Amino acid sequence: MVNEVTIVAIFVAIVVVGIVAILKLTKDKTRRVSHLRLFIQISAVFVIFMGLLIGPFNDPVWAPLGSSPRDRLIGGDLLGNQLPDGISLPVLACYMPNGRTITCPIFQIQASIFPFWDASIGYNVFYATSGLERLVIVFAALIFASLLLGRFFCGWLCPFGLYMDLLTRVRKVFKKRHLNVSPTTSKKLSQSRYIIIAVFLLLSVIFGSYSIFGTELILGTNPTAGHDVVHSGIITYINEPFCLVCPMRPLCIGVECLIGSMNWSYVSQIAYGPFWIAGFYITSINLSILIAITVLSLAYRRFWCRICPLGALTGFFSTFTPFKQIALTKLYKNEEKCTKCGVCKRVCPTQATAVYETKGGDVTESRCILCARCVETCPYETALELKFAGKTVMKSRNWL
Amino acid sequence: MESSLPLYVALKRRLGKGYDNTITKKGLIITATFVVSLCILWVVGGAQAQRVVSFTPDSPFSIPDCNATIHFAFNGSYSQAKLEDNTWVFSNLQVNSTRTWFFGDWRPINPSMVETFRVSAKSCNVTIISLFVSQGQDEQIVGNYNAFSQRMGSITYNVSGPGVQSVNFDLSPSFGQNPRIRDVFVMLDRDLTGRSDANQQSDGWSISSDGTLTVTGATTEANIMCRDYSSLLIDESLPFHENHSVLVVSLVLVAGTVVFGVIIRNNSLKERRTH
Repeated sequence: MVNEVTIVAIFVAIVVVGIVAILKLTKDKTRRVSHLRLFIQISAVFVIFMGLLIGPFNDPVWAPLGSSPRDRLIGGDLLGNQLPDGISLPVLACYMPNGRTITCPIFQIQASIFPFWDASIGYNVFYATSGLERLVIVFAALIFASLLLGRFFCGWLCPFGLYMDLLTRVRKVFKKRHLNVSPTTSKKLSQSRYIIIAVFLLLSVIFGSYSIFGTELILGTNPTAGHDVVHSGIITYINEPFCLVCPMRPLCIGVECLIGSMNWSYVSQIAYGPFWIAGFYITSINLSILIAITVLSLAYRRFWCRICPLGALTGFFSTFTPFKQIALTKLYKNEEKCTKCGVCKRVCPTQATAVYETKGGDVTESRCILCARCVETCPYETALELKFAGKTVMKSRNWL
Repeated sequence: MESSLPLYVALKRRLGKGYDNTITKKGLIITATFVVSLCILWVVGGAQAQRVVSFTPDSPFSIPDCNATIHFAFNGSYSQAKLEDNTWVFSNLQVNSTRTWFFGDWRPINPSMVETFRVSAKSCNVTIISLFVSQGQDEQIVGNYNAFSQRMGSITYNVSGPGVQSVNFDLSPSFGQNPRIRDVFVMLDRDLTGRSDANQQSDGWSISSDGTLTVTGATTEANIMCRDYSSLLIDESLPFHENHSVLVVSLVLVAGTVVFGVIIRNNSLKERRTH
């Protein structure tokens, strides 16, 4: 434990030094924030998946298959059995990887539905609180994080966001220009996020209906029909429906296998039912979606962010009334300084348009991931400001 | 000079002013006899408590009324083994089992002590090839993952003859009564390597309210793994804010952020009116 503390302390020191160095040493004012954001995104990966720093590494007990994805849940160490899956924050921190501190809230929302009213075991973990209590905790954490930082999580901390930003940099290496979707398509993609999250949450409720209402809406979803409360019927296959299609899961599994934190033979063997359709870790569905998102993100910047259901939830709790009134992190536009040059609209990776179209004041919208690229590139002093709790954190500068 | 005197006289003198007239030769003899008796009892009793009986793979544990015999495939010992109601009840069973099956993988283990273990059979012969019972988090099995903190019992045995076998690892009292705190994994007549679907309850096995697992569907081998999570249940005697601290903290954070947000908003509205 002392060793782990030392490693974490060194890591924190490196991050602090790195941030200071970037702020001081980056001469190009239009790239300073971008460099800082990339550095923070990479640091966030290690914070979210703390096991990359402190293990477990090659746990011999699990040899020859390698570590199990749930061998060490550092977030569970912090929260105990009340919320053993880890701290809930609005980033796509898949619940699979070993040694993570933070867990995707969409998984936790789905997992909390079943079982709902009692404390019970889940997959290789025991929940000392009821699903209802965990649901309240997850939503409370989501609301807290959204009010505090809004989609700043998406722009600066989400590991999948980092993946897409790296794809953007790969495209730039080949000097290829990005594509844009039409404003209508952009709007429709944005609206589809809410439909996606609603559909999958509804599916979770349908599959978990026996747990909540005591009646099966779909046959085979009675968890008590099996040999214990978890492994039975259709629950075994689709108890977290969104996780079966989320592209973050195969990405996490793939990275874990690459770095030796998980053995591929373990992944391929741990499957319920036909592997490629309803496997436990990688399925044909989520792998196909990952490939599709990868290709699309090479062409269109931050493509997944435009349809991300987690972003939809975060955006809802930070940019929709009444949350919008009390959200603490906002993007402001000074109407008098704005010349409508359109630079902000051009550089926005998610094609958010409120920053350009809105006259002045709070221009934060649900599509905006608060990456501050517009603030960084706006050539007019204080035309755009990123504010936290009313205080300016970042403002546009005359770099012309 | 004093040392040459009889002991009781020396004692009399040593007591000095506190001299007690009741110390007599007779009293000393009685006291000495009592102390010696205690020592003998301690030696005999202690030896009795530490008495162990060793067994080998050739040692049969027969259940004549049920036409069954149980063997262990390894050496071991116990402090007591008795046949009660056609069930062998072992106390302080030291097993030299070197591996246990845990989710598709044989894990190496050190020899361990099982406090109480009950096993029974009917119309078959059982050979126990691995046995492991943990009373808490066992790092050699589950690593350092604290959410795995639970009691567990695991047994693998071969069986000859289509009979019935019963095992009880003596986990917590609620193990048999509350299905929500237990995870039971039973595989019958299957290849144990790799992860396989378990037999569902009522498909060759059942569990009673006292925690006894009864297997009816094994013809060659059986593997049973039980995990008891009752120790992780909330302690109802603790106050609410301790048992639900994460919930309380989450709600406080939300409330605090809302209040803070309202204050900031009001301040900015005031500033705008001023300007």
